[in-house]
Amino acid sequence: MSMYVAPVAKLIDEFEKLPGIGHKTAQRLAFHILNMPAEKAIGFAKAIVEAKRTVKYCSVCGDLTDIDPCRVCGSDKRDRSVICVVENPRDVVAMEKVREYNGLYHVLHGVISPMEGIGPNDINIKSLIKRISEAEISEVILATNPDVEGEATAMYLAKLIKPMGVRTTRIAHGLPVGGDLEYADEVTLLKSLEGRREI
Amino acid sequence: MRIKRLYLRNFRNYSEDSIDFAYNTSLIYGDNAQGKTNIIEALFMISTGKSHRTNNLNELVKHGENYFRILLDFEDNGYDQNIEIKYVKGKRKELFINGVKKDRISDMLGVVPSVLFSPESILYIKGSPGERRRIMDIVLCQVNKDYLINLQRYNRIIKNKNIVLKQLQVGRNEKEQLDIWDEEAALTGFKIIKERHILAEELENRMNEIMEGISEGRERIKIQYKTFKEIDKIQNGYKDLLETITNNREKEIETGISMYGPHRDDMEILLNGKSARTYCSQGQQRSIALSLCVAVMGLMEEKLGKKTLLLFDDVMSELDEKRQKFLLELIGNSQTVITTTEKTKYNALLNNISFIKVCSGKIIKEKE
Repeated sequence: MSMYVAPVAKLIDEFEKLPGIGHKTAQRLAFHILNMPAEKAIGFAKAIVEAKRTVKYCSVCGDLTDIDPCRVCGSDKRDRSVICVVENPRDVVAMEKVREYNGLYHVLHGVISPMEGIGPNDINIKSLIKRISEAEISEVILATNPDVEGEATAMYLAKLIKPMGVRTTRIAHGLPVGGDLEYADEVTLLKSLEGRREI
Repeated sequence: MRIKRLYLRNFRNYSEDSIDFAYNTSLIYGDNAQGKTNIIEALFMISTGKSHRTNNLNELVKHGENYFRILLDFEDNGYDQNIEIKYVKGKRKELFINGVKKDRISDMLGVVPSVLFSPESILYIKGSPGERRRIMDIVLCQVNKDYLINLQRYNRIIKNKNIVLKQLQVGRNEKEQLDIWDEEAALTGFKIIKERHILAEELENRMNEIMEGISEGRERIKIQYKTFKEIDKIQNGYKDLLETITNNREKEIETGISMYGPHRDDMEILLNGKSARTYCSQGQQRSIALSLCVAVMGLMEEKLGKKTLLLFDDVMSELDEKRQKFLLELIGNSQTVITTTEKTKYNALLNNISFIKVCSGKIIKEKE
């Protein structure tokens, strides 16, 4: 039985549904909001509704956007012959921070995982194939994570894309830049040895 | 590496107790069901992260309590260190090395390397192939982190692949997806096969040296790593495994399980050309199991570059006098923890030994 009056209990419940939030944190957040001035609380609620209302998936790449097509897909400054395939919108942000990559993206919204009941048709693969066959694409970079499902998805995509005559590459894994060799764990070090190249 | 003191809290039948170990041999004695093996179990646990008797951690918590702690003080690299495992019922076990919490349990592998020889070790010889895969995996995971990662990946790949196979039985998936899981399984699986094959060869050499001492060279050991095809006939690495898997695709779909790869392999041990599993006497199997354990110890010491702890759980009584003597000579200056019900026998056989008496979950130390 809840110790709180219904509206408070409901607010706590809603917070607790968020990822990374436990019961204690949910309580703290709920009380923080109750202590806010009314207009700040309304502003907060509006921000949620506004974001939810205006942000959609880009009809081309599947990334989160408020205009369609998204800013990357609609830009004429980007190299439209390269597509970088990533698992989720957060990976797009990570890649954009690099400021080096100037091509387009394609967001899969997941990876192939029989264990979790996710097959190729459940993620954004069909539209990727359509994009590649309809536009002049010279390279597809597969940037899924290097875990079991990410590798399998990359391999699945490579098998589909390579026969279309498009150069298909996989991002390398290894040492983090700026990190010291001595701090890398053995497995990362081994991977970077495997991926070494001539200079 | 030498272990110094073990502290137990709510572990099995111990409430709170600690044991100081001797530099060389510590002999734990006491009647049956007093808690001798529980000490071995705690040491094994702090070395491998697992119990050798159960997979259910709740069984390790003292009756009526809700957590246990194992803390081991040891000396390595010339200074005192400690390692600790804490488990609260219903939570994940936690690992601390020198007081620092570690996120991955695999961080403990190789910190306090150990080899256990117990009455069940005979299963490495006469048990199912799974027992032999287990000993290979225990050794390789402790000396090679990359192997551990590949093994974890491989298990996940096979889990995924088996689901795809079962879905294909009822037409709920496509063969194109099976293609990728087959290839992933072959790629990672072959790395495991290669490591195990090398290990089998190294163990064979070491075991023959050891058997020489036990049987005066009358008995020759041969170890063959049995995989999807004869090792010598593999020419194109993982592609051969992939070929075998794809050639048997219909069979795999029918049964709904992956049938080729390291998870189905065996390490066949032959004594004078005959399968030790089927043709050897109980006594011979015990000798082979013993030489396997000693070989494993030698190998780990070489690969890790440090001394390995030896755990002998109630096995002395099973060996005849000659083999007992041989064993004690062999372990020479290794640190050893032995459990036994009869104390007196060892006075003569060993010097530099410390005796620890165990009586219903209490440690009683004696000075000799």
